[in-house]
Amino acid sequence: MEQHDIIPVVSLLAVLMPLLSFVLCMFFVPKSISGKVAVSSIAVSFIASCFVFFKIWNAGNIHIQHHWFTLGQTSWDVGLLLNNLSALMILLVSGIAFLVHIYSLAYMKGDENIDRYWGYLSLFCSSMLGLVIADNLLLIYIFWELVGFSSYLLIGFWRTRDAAVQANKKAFIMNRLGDLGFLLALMILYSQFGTLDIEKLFGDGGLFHLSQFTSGEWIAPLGHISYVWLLVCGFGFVFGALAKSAQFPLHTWLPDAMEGPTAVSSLIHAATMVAAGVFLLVRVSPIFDSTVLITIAVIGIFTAFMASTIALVQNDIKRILAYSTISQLGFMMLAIGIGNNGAAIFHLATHAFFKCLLFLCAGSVIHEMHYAKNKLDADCDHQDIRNMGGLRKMMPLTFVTMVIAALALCGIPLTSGYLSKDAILISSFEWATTRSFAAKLIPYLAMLTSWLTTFYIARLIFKVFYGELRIQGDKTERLIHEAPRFMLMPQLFLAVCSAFFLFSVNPLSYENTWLLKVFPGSVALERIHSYHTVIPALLNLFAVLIIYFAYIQYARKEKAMFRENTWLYNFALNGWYFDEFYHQAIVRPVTYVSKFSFSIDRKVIDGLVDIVGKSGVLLSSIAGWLDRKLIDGFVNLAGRAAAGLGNFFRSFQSGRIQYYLAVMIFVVLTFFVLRYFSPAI
Amino acid sequence: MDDYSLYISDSLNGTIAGIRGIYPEIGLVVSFLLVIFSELFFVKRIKQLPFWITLISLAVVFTLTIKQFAIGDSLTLYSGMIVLQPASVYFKLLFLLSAILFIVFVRNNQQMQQHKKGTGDLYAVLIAVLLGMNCMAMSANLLMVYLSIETVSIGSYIMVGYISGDGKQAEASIKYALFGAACSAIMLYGISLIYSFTGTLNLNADLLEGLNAIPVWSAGLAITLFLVGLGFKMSFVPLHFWSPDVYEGAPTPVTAFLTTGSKIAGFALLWRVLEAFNSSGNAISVYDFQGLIGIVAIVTMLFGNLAAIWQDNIKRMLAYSSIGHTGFLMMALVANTAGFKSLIFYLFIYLLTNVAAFMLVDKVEQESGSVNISTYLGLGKSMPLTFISLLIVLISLTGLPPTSGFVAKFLVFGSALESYKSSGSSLILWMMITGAVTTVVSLFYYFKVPLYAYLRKTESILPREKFDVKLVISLVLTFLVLIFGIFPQVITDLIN
Amino acid sequence: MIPLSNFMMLSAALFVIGLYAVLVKRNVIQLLIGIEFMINAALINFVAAGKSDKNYMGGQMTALFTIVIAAASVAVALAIILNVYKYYKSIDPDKLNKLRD
Repeated sequence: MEQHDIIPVVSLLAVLMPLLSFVLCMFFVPKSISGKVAVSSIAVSFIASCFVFFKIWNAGNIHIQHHWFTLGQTSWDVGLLLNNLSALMILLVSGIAFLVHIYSLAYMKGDENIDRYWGYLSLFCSSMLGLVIADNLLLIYIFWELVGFSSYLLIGFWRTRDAAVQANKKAFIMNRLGDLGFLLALMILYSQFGTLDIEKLFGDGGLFHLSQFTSGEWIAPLGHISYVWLLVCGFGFVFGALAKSAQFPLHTWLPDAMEGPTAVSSLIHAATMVAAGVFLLVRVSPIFDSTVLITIAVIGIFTAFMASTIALVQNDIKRILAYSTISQLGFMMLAIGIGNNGAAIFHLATHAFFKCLLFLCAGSVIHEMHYAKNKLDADCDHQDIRNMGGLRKMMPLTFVTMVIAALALCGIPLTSGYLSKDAILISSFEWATTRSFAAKLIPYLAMLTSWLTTFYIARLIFKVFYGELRIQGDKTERLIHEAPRFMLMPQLFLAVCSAFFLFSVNPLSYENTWLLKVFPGSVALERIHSYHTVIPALLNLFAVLIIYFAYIQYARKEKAMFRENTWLYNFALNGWYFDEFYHQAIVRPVTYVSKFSFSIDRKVIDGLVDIVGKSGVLLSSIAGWLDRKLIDGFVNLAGRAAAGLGNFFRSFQSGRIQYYLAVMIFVVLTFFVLRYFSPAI
Repeated sequence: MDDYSLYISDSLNGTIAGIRGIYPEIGLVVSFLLVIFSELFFVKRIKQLPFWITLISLAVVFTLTIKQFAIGDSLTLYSGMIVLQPASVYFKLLFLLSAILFIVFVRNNQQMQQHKKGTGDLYAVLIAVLLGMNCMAMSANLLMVYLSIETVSIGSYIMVGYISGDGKQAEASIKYALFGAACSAIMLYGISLIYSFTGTLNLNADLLEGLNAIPVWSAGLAITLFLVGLGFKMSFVPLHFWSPDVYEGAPTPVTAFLTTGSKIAGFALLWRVLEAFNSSGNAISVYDFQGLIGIVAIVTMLFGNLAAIWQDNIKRMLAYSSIGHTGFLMMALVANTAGFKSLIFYLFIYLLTNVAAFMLVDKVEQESGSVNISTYLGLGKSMPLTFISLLIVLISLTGLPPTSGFVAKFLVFGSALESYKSSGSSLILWMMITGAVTTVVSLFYYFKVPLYAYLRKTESILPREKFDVKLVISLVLTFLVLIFGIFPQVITDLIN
Repeated sequence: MIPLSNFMMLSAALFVIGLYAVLVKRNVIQLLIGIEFMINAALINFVAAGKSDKNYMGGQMTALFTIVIAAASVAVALAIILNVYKYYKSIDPDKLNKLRD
């Protein structure tokens, strides 16, 4: 087989191995080895993805298709599109998934429903991998839904906890809202172009590029509609991405999704699923015109700012990280909005590593706190950072890795996060130079958000790892150990990846990263020299100051920075009151309408159905009587005839040989006589 | 003597030239001798030596037979005694397959292996029977017909009575022997009449011309008597009376062989005779074979399938069902050359399913001791693989998709339909109708087995299933039955 | 010369006698004798008709082969009868009816 033929097969293998693991773990394999099955299948997937990545990166696209079904005149194909973006994503997703699988071996050990866990996790990995290599938008939509569904299953994994059940419903419903937008966009594209194949639409000389926009009309091969629809299409995709990547206004599900196991949060809600929104936008980016792009940028920066303010005052370690994710995703959206897709993907990749690492370390801390809490029989929230402290003495390795990740999040030089954040910030300044005043606000807001980020993550680190442990109890310190080996290994590996050398030889200038070099679609912005030196310097200087300030506040003084119970504090703590607003404005009316329709349904419609049903029963009883008497009668007659004839025939076998011979001779002679001597035959 | 000297040298030359056409048969003779030797001298040291020698030599003969496909069109050898055609090679391959399955079956059958005389002689007799069958498929002379039929028959009597472990087996063998001897004698008389009427024994145009020259009922009598012997081998009505008793009483491997190999040999011979009678250039119609086959097929189908409804002994039921299959197959003979493909395919599938069915029945009998269907209660759960396999085999025998039994029946119906369209004879129409009706009837008695095995419960202790060679082979055969049902082209393409 | 038809009538008579013996007799050995009668009837036909077949000697050849086969057949049948006698202690064909419907 040619090189060219192996690669699609290998990539298909990468997608299907976790699916196989899903089937096996859910239905066939006993609990004890379900873990090994899942881990080995994701390992195979990872190796396959490495192979695909090294073959595809910068070596040309591979696009193969296969006919799937035909509806009337239209025929749909399924296929794989392997270009730089897909190769990078497939490597990223499977790599992170592999590490999380290993982590989960230790984290979820002893859980009763472990086989369901592995099954759902494998299903998720399979759908995510499929999403990144799918070649047409319909297929991406299908996998998009599957990813959302697996996320639903995983968030609500501990189904006996009410909070988890509520959270997964919320996540699923919000995702469905976003999907409406996605579907609308798909329909518009289809009606204009007759195909949803990405290469055909957006590739070189693709159908989309051939369509013209003149005098308020969108002229395409199949149709001729108003320009407004292009905007609607763009917004549709954006809406879908907003839901999946937890941006304003569909961001409230992500903090609640922290009810799931931390390993799940790290994989899905930090590194992969939420990145699917960004991925989609990059895939369909040619659609967006300037209006949509501006909207994306504005939403992105607004969300980034909002989320970071909320993160400042949260006390649950996972919620801080969740809002941090929302904030960083806002940065990615901003990058897309300013036209620098490469920077968005770059930040997606680096964010995947350090955010996943942050979550895994948080998981280790929670795991140990939970264990200590059980031993002490203490009644406190083991995820509350106000109950932690001084853990760096007891969990040194976790401390070191978490610090490295935090530095990457802040964007301190020598980390990968520095490179990607700089890419976004600097290009946002360059973008804003030629625009209006309002646009110029955006980069400054980005810088402010960056400093807020530094603050909240520093607060987290210092509260958790410095100072004295705040849970009361005898010899509490001795109860907390370093995390088990399987949890540490992924953390260490990710820490290495969060440093700069994975991405670029030059730790200070982002332009040399190999990742950025190959991305098309980065709008050529005028490179303004001064920005490239001033901005990083300014940013990092203040960042260091802020870290020092936080250190003083939290490690030394151990005092709450913000006064609690002020209006501003509560506003931030409750997530700018979005949840309450949604509840009043949307959830209650909908519930009311559904109760009303239910009563109508029961009284009126069921009544009608009942009458029809009763008349049906009457008819069928008549038919049954006819069936029994007449038709069964015939059938019974036939049966009895057959039986009687059979009885007659077998009576010839009397067992006596001379009888046999006699009958035989008789029949032969009769045949002969009748044949030759009777005039009839 | 001088008159004959020419003939002598001619016939010597002919004999030597003809050797190249009978390599498989020579192989069989050599292996026959080898088996007898090994049975006499070496069996004490190596217990299963005759089995292995037989198996290996059958494999060798198989390859020799396959080489015979290269012969091309028909080749008359030995001054018109035998004629080698591609059609006969197909039949020979089927006989070999049946024989190989038979010896493996014997090797794994408890009763056979416990026989104090050993099974070496049985293998030798088998090889002789196989030789006879080969000659049946190739015969072009009435003497050859008689000799080969007799070889097969006498060998079969010995095989049936080989163990004679109980009264039933002895009774089966004597019924077979007496009935068979009587039918052969009648057939011989018929041949002698033909010879007296025409002066030649070769199945060629001379014979037909000769028969044409005499009053039609004389020829009819002679040929009818001749067909009695043939019908005995194929067991169609009215010459089927021996088969339920003999199949029930004989040891199961022998029954499997008789229902498949022996019956296929009968079909091969009938095919040859029909070809000889129909192939003469000016289509002399001496005897209305179509009519005869039609009536016989209808009656046989009815008889076999209807009588099987009442059977409780599974071997007896399978015996009646094979009579039914014979009747059905005769439809394929009606259609002449188009029917050949469907005939071979059906025979092949019939061979596989029947041998599998008998192997499974034997396994059940060995492990649970039940020979009656009504004692199969609850065995479906305790012997799952066996009964699943048996279920699939029975489905194939009924002729339901997706098994190959369905495809085979379908092909036969197809060829009968074609000949109906070209000849318009209503007899063919009735044959097809009867075929369809009896297929429905057969569903009933075949499905009694899974009914009792799966849906009825019993309180007694149920045996566990042993995973032995018989089960493996039955599973392989079942698998093949399913595969050929989905991909019949694999086989139908091999048949020209 | 004796016409062929005479021989044929003789053989027909022999055949029918043999058939009668097969169908009626209560002794299996006598049944075998009946079968022998039928075979011999056929042999007479062969030999008689073979007089006019000087080229291929079909009739004579067949007769020789048939005698051999008949002998083999009878030998096997007698061995089987011995076997049956071991179990049934009788050679009346009517008594051998355990296998029946």
